[in-house]
Amino acid sequence: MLNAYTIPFLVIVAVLLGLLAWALRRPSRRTAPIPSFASLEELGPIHFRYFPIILQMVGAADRDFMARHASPSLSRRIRAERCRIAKQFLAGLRNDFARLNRLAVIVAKLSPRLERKSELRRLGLALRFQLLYVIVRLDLELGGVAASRLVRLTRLIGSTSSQLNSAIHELSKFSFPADDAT
Amino acid sequence: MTGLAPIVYWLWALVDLAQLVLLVILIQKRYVRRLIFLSIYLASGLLGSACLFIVYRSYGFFSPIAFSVAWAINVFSIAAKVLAVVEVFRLVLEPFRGIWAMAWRSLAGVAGAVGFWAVLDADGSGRHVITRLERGAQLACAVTLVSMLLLVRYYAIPVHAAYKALLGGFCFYCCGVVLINTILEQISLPHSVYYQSIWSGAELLCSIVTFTVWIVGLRHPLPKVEERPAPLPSFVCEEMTPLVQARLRLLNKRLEEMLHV
Repeated sequence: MLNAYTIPFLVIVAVLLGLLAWALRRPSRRTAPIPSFASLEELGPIHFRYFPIILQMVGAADRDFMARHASPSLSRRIRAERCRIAKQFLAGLRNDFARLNRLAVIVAKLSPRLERKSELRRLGLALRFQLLYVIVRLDLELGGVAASRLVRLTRLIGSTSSQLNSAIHELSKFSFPADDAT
Repeated sequence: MTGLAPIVYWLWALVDLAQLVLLVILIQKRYVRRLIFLSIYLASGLLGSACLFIVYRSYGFFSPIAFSVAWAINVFSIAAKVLAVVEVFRLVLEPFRGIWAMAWRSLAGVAGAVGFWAVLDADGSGRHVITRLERGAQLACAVTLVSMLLLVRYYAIPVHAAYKALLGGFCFYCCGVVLINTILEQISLPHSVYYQSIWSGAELLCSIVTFTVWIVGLRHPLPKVEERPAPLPSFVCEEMTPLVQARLRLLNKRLEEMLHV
C-alpha cells in the first residue's frame, strides 16, 4: 500500500500537523509589551560588557600560564571554575540576544511597513546565533571553548543591534515624516 | 438512490446539520458581517449539498452530470475556503499593518508555488487527475495556513481562541483530504462503490471534526474591534525612539571597541 510516492505525502502531512499543533499552543513566554521608561534600561543587552574578561579567561595565554605555574589539581579546579563562569556568560549573551529580538519584534509590530529582506536577515541572524550558541555550549561541556566562536557570537549581537537601529530609524520616519527632510 | 453506503448518507446529514448550527451561531451572534466569507463558505456548503442530493437522486451517483456538478461544487468550496482563511488572518493581523502587508504577499507566492507544483503533479496522472488536483489545492492551502501561523507565532501576535479554532479546523481538514486522497489512490479503483463510500465517508468525517472544533471555538465571543492595541502614545514616538536609538548606538560602539582590541 505504501510506496515511494505515498510516503513523502504522509511525511509532509505529519510535519504540517506537528507544526500546526506547535503554532497553536499557548505561548510559553509573555508577549512583549510596549516598553515603558522604567524598563528602558532592561531593553538592551547588558551581559556583553564582560566579554573582554571572558575572552582573556578562555585565551591560550592564560591557559599556558596556568599549565606552567600551577599544580595539576589546582589547574583542574581553576579550569572547572572558569568553565562555569563561561557558561554563565554564554547564558547571559543568549539573554542579551533575546532582549534585542524582543525589541525587534515590538518595532516590527509597530511599523506600518516592513522590508521582507531585512526581516529575513534578522531571522537568519537568530538562526545563526542559536546554532553557534549550541556549538559553544557543547564546546564548554567538553571542557574547552574556541575564543573565535565567542567573538563571532558577540559580533552577531552587534549585527542584530545595527539592524534594529535601522528599523527604529525607519519607524521614526513614519512617526515624524517632517524630520526626514532635515 | 444507490452508489454510497448508508452510513455515508448519515455522515452527510451530520455535516449539513453542523454547517447549519454554525450558520445559526454566526447569525445569532451577529458575526456574519465580520466573517462574511466564512458565512458564504458555510451557506454555499449547504446549498451545494442540497444541489448534489437532487442531482444524485435524479441522475444517479455515477452519472457524468453528477461527477461534473460534484467537482464544480468542490472547486467553488475551495475558493470560498481560501477567501475565508484570508479573512480570518486579516482580522488577526489587521492591527499590525506592516506584518500583514509583508506576510500576504510572501504567502501568496508560497501558495502559488505549491499550486503550480500540484498542476504539474496532476498532469498525465490519468484517472487520478481530479483527486490529485484537489490534493494539490488542499496542500497549498495547508502549507500557506501553517506558514502564516508560524509567522504569527514568530511575531508573538496574540490569536483569539475562536480564530485559532477556525484556522486549526481549516488546516486539519486540508491535511485530512491530502492524506485521504494519497492513501486511497493506492488501494482501490476510483469507480468502485467501496472506493467512493470510503473516500466520501473519510472526507465527511474530517468535515465533522472541523465543524465541531468551529462550533466549540465560536462559543467564545469574538474580540471587539475597540480591543485592538491603541496607537503609540506621542511621548513614545517623540522621546523614547531617540533614547532607544542612542542606547543601541552606544552598544554598537562598545562592541566595536571590544571586538577590535
